[in-house]
Amino acid sequence: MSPLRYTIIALLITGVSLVGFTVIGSDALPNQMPDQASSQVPTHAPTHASTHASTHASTHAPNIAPNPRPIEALGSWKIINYWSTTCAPCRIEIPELNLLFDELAASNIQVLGVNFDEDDRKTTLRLARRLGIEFPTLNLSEVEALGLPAPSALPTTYIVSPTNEVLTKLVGIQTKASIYTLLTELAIPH
Amino acid sequence: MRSNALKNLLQTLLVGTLLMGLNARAQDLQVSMLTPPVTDQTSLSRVITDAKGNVHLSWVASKDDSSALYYATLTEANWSPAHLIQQGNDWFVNWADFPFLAVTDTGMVAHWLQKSADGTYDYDINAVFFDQEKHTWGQPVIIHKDGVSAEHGFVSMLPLGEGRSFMTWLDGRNTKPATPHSGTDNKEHTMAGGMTLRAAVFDRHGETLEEWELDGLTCDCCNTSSAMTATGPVVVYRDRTEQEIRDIYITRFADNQWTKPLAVSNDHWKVPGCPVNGPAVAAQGHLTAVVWFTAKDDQPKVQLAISNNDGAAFGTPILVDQGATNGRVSMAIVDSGDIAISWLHTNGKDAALKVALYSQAGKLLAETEVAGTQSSRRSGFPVITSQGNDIYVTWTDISAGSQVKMARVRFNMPPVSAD
Repeated sequence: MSPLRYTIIALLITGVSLVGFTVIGSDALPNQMPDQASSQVPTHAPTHASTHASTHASTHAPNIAPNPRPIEALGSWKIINYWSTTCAPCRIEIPELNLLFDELAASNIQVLGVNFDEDDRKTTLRLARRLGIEFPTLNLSEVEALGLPAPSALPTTYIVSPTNEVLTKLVGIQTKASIYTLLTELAIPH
Repeated sequence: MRSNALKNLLQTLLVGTLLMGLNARAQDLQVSMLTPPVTDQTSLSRVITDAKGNVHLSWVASKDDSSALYYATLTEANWSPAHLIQQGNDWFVNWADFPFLAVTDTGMVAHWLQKSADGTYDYDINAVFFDQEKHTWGQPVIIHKDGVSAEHGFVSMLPLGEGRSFMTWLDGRNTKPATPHSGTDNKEHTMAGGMTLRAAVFDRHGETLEEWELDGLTCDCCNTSSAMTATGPVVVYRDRTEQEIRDIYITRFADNQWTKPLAVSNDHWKVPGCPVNGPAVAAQGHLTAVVWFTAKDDQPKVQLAISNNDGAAFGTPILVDQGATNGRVSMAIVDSGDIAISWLHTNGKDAALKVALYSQAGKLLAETEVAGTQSSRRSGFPVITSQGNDIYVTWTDISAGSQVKMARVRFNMPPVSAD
């Protein structure tokens, strides 16, 4: 018998042993995540699409696959900020993002928020008001449609292309100036 | 070439043999779903075992803006009715920062977070103490005495005996800007400080007996964990340095004082934000074990470290999971001295609630998936406790609404901690 056959047999034994690793009474749950959010759409929908997405996507986010599913905001560049009420640094950067939101209102760049804690829509909007967030907060369906990787730390801000491709992930407190610098580096018109 | 093939064959056989050995032991593992007296719209559950071996489940029921904290006790195979601890309309309810219940020798103590009256997002740690003789809960007390409207939370608790309880928490009293000096034109606030780690001992009525600041700069929003070793309590938490290294640290109460915090493992995870993913510690005698999540270089890992000297020094970290995990760890030590760990293994938006058993030598003895769940924050932090050689695990099922679940994992295997 050849070594290759020995290897195949050994792998088969290993596979059988893994199959035999039984769990009695475990309860597999459905995969679908219910969306308790309303269908509110960001209030600052884009008016035209940019043409710079693919150029920068390949150089700045090689490990993040593009998301083929469009959301309502398809066509604009997006600055998407994850916030949480338990995150003190998040609250520090909110005024800066509010300023950015105002100044970019006439551009093709949206400033959008995501409640990292995934509270229900009513709670999320109430918390956003209490935190002084003036930019739109996405609902769970919109977040899911974007397919953004869940942040491993807060605050996290993503720069997303018009085709919903993540160009950059920024972790930590951002300022208006730091994001303008990045937009310039990425050649995103603003 | 033949030599390489033989080498590959031997390696494959070795792995197969190891897996078969693990499987042979794991076949004696049983997962049983339990039926605690919880309703729907429940979440934020935690499970603990008291000194008598009774298992207690606590959870929060939410309706509109109202929240209520309950507990129920599992004695042998029988559940008590659900007992209301406290309810309110001004609680701060968060998936990562949720109530703790501890059972002392004279009663119980439980906490929840209540919004500060004058803060937009500030909250205090409120606690109630149960008098076993009078069979009543006392009046709520705020456990921190700073009087500062700031964040206070991520509590862990331990019973200490003689009715006393130990609590540790993250305290944001220094994060608030100081008031500018009066009589000056300076409208700028002074620079605020960082989140601190504090701890205190309370008597059976909630009076503070002692209080300490354990660390002057910690991560802002990761849960703390505490355990009682043979020589005293230990606290583990996610530290934060000026350079934004956020590794897991431990401090011990030894010789009547808290030791200088030390890294359980120098992962050197530099991250200028909060992972919302704290560690868990468990102890039995001098054995102390810590499990934690780290993601240096965007590589998520769950790691285990073991100490045989009350947490004074730890061995090399043992990799529990990597890549497809978002942490959310919990830990318990069973009577045999083996170490149980729970964590979430992720697959996109889906996740598996995993439980594994390790020997004191760090050898994986068994591993199973307790339930399918989701990566979503709404599925919360699963929590485990031990009773004898069994593990009890609780989590939140969000497949249809939100409901607390509980299961028992029974490891029918001889203790092998000495291997």
